[in-house]
Amino acid sequence: MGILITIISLSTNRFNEQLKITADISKELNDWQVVKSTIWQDFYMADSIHMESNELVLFSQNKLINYKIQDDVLYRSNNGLWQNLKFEVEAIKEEVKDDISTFSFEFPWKDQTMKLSYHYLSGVDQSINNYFNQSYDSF
Amino acid sequence: MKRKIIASSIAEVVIAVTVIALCFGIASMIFIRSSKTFSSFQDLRLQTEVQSLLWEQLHGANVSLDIEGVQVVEETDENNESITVVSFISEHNTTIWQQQIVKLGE
Repeated sequence: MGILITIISLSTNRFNEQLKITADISKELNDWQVVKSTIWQDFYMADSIHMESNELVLFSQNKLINYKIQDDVLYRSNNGLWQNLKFEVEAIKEEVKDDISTFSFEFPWKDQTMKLSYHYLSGVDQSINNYFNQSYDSF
Repeated sequence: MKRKIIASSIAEVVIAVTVIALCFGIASMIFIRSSKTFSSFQDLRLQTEVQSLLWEQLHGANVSLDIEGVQVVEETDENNESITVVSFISEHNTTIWQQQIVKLGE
């Protein structure tokens, strides 16, 4: 009888542990979806994107969003107010090919690297700004 | 040297079988859940990769949507013939992303 009770209690304990692990994993997956949708939205809403001293800077109407890595964790600022996104990140990069920038975040993801990248095509407004900046520099 | 364990009643046998079934059931549930979890993380990584490529394609880049471990299935929308539904299916037979694309010039 003692053996039976031990087996049942061990099984129940293991089952409860598994339930806790499942809940933790769901939370982790959910947290990632929140971070990802925030990044996609920031990218999509941005009128201009560039890298500035290891920070990703996104300008949109009445809004300035920055992303940076501090202690291997991703931070986001909205109009100067920094917020810890509590998500590990390896790198924030800009790759330029044929005058088109691709901005990417690299996250460590279960012994692999998960790359979230955004192919940034500057709009007419950005082209006009560049034109005037160049004209201004030439004076 | 023969030792016999005598079951004195049917109730004991029923209890023993129930306990074995319970343990087996819990073990299989744990195994299935842990294997599903691994595939969820993998699928999410592939989903992010697919979405990144779709952004690139949306912004006019000529990119291939072939990703290792992802099957791409294109179908015409049941309700609208001018829309193509592109499904991205992982190795675990899970649809990781579906994208509707409007057919142009047809």
